[in-house]
Amino acid sequence: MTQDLYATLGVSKQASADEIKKAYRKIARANHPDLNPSDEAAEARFKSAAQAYDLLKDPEQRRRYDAGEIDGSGAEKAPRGYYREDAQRRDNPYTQRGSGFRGNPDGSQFDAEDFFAQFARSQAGGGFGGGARRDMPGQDTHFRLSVPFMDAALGSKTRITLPDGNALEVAIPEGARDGQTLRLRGKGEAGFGGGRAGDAMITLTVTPHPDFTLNGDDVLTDLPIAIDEAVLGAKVKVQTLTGAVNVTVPSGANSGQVLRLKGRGLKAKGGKDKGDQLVKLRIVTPSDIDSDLREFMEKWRIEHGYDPRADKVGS
Amino acid sequence: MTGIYAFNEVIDQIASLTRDRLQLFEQLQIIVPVQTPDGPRYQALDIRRITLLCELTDDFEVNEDALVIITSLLDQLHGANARLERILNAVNAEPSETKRRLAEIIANG
Repeated sequence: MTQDLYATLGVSKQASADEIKKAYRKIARANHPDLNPSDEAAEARFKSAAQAYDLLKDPEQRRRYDAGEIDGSGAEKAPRGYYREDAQRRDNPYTQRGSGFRGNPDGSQFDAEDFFAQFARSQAGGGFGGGARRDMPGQDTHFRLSVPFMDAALGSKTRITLPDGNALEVAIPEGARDGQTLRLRGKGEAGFGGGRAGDAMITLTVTPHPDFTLNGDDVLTDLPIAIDEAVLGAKVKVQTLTGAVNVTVPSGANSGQVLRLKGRGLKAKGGKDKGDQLVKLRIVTPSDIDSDLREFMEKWRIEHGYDPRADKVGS
Repeated sequence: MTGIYAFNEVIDQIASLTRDRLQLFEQLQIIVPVQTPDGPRYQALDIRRITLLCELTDDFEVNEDALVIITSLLDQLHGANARLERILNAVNAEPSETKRRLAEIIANG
């Protein structure tokens, strides 16, 4: 599990101590496990970088690493030794057979302090080694993208510009919502070692439409109708997301009355169903009340006048 | 979505903000403008966030690394709070029998 410490930090072998420190801090501030409690990939990146920095920040260690005397984990790449150098050691198990091994709890020379110290060391080593895998996914990158209402409603293809000037094709799914985040797998920063690249996370800002507003999966629109259409009923053209349809306004329609166009809404999140379009009627009087209309209304009111506020309290 | 600002408008809006500083915030990815066909745009929320970042930098002399850490923690905190609030709202909408059962589980958990 030797890793290229320079590659882990993303610096060259000739990097100055300051560059190494900067590179480490850049990774650490974004990936520290205490700062990103539930992100395992971040933790792995942090551990690798910390291990690399721990070794490279020490000029002597760095020299030995460069010279190939120690590997990336700081372990000695010891020159081959000879048995005779160890053979006479007091703790040579072969020379102490029968007198109990050091480190064996049943032995007479068992040292509990040392045992637990060793245990703790191996634990720390194990934990650290586990995190310091060579292959780790790269970091996710974040973008925000403005999408016209219709493109979000119907789905579309667009591009975003990456910091390096390249463009990335983004498919906006049908029924995309404001604030929704799209994940483009493998379009983030490059992975470490053989690890996969991170993802590009694209948060959508849907620009409002002058005529359509949303309520969940339902599309709300406003439909102005003339007085005669309200009184007599009419067939009226209504814009939907997918083009105009004819809608029947019933005779005696009121302002605020809502007509429901089934299945003309937005595609539901994660489903195939579509919401409805809710068309709210609004009676609009003519901008110019001509004398004909005035006379007709005055005559009409004498016999047919009514009080639409009759059931209102306090009227 | 009220108030949409271009780069220069943002600089004008916030007294302590310079071009270099906003570019640095973006380079650090602690400010991410919305990409539009007309170029990068900033929302009222971005203005407030940039103002906070300027205050942290000027008033508290927070350096670049710490700034990234603080914003990351703030984002996580607000994200967690928002999720908690959604859960609480969902629980609140449940019948009182369910609420009592959940409260017990939470108290004993």
